[in-house]
Amino acid sequence: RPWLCYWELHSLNLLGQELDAKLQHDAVQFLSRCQHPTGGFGGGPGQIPHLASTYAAVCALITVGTDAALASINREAMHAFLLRMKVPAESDAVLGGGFRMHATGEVDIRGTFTALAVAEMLGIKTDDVVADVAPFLERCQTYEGGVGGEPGTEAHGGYTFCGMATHILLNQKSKLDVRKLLRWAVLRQGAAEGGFNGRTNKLVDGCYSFWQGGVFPLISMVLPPLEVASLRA
Amino acid sequence: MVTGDDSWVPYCDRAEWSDVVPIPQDDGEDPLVPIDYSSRFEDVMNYFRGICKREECSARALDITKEVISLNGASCSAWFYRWKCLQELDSDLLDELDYIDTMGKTYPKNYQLWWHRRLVVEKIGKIVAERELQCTADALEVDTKNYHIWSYRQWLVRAFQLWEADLAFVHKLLVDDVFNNSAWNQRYFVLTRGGQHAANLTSVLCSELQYVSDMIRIAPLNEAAWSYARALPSGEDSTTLEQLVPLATAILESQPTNLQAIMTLTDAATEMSRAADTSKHDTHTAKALELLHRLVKLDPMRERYWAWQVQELTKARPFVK
Repeated sequence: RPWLCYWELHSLNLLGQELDAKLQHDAVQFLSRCQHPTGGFGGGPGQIPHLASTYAAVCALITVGTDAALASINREAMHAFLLRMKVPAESDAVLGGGFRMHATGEVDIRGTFTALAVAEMLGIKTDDVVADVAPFLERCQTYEGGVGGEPGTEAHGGYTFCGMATHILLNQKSKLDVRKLLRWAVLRQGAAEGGFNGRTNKLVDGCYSFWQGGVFPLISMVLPPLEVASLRA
Repeated sequence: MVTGDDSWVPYCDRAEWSDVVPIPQDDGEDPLVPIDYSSRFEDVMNYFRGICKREECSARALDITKEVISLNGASCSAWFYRWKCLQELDSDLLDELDYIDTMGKTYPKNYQLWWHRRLVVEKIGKIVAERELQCTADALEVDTKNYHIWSYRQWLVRAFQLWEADLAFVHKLLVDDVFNNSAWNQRYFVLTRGGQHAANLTSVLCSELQYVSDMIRIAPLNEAAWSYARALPSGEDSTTLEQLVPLATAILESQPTNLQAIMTLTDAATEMSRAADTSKHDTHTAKALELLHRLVKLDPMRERYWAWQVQELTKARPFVK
């Protein structure tokens, strides 16, 4: 449900619609009930906290943007939650440095992105949050140039967005090969359809207009821009 | 996956559950995105929350997690609590594996289920490894690119060192569908021992170059094969791209507009341009530029990317025409 709140509130925001006071109030009230006393937000009231619903809830509350919305987030507990989700580097050669999505849950680059994005938005991106994140990200980049969910798994649009965004959130302090990522991303666009596919030799899908399309503004923050004059060279 | 079973009794009517205080969901007034829950869903969840509040890890607690999962397969709260109960009860994990295996056929794309499977199998150990490998092979027959299943298979291979079996499996899949990028990715995974040992791939470089070249000849526009080829390590006295020049050139003879081949030659020329001393630099740069302009014509959708490559190439070292 926090995802639904985020998609709808953020979409209204993108469309330039103001949120009336009651909607703002109801959003804060409801999302507060999704917040777990030990930190983070679950998918609904009474659920365990999960990094995806946490990301969505924080984005939704920031979109609402009122003092009440921002104040409703328990930043201290959130910081503790993020650190609990971290996999200690020394405990696992493959997944060390990654984040679990929830207690005893799966580890993949979504956890890394959602954790760092939340940390950034809430001003709690401390050294212990970012420790060992870069090597995990680097291990997730595949021979194709895109990023997989875990070290070894296939380059995939959703995970690549997470990976590139993580690199930016690390202030580019990772050895992610952005040129190689760019090449892979550019080849994901289908000449017949115009949209993007998520993986090599798979079908174009609208969702990748976001995951793949959205990676280019991030790449532009890193690589030199195209100077228009060159097109005519 | 609710069974249409008229004998189902709500928890609130079960005498043996009367000691558990049901906890209604605290949605508050005017909640956003309210869900129109069935009364069965509400009843089950009220008692699940009640059990969690008591921190009870009994057989009935384990049972109710199964019920929650049947109503909402993605309930991470239920999967979390189920794993907790299994550990505290020291349950028969082989039974649990049978349950997951059955559920996996209904929910093949469920993150929680496939991770739970790892936790269970890790605890059981090597004794079920081969069987699990076969289960993933069967599941991949239904959906040859299911990301969860490939991830799980990679974990199995790593955890139980099943590298050799996987190579044979990958080859079979490529024979069935040479375009399957998940299979090519798995091949790379196996040969580099999960990215840990590139040296292992170096030792089979010659045969791999032959293997992928044969596959490219079968389907010359197959991006998956070309990507794999580019990922092979350098040879003793030539880079990877240099090694691919003869193949790309040969392909272009019969297919002059093959984009993959042209891209390969372009990248090879660019690489040589960067590495070359001044006397050879201009030749390679000219070649790369000619190929990039060909790409702009043949692949106009990516015009801006090819133009950017031109820009990067010419500013790296000034090119005197």
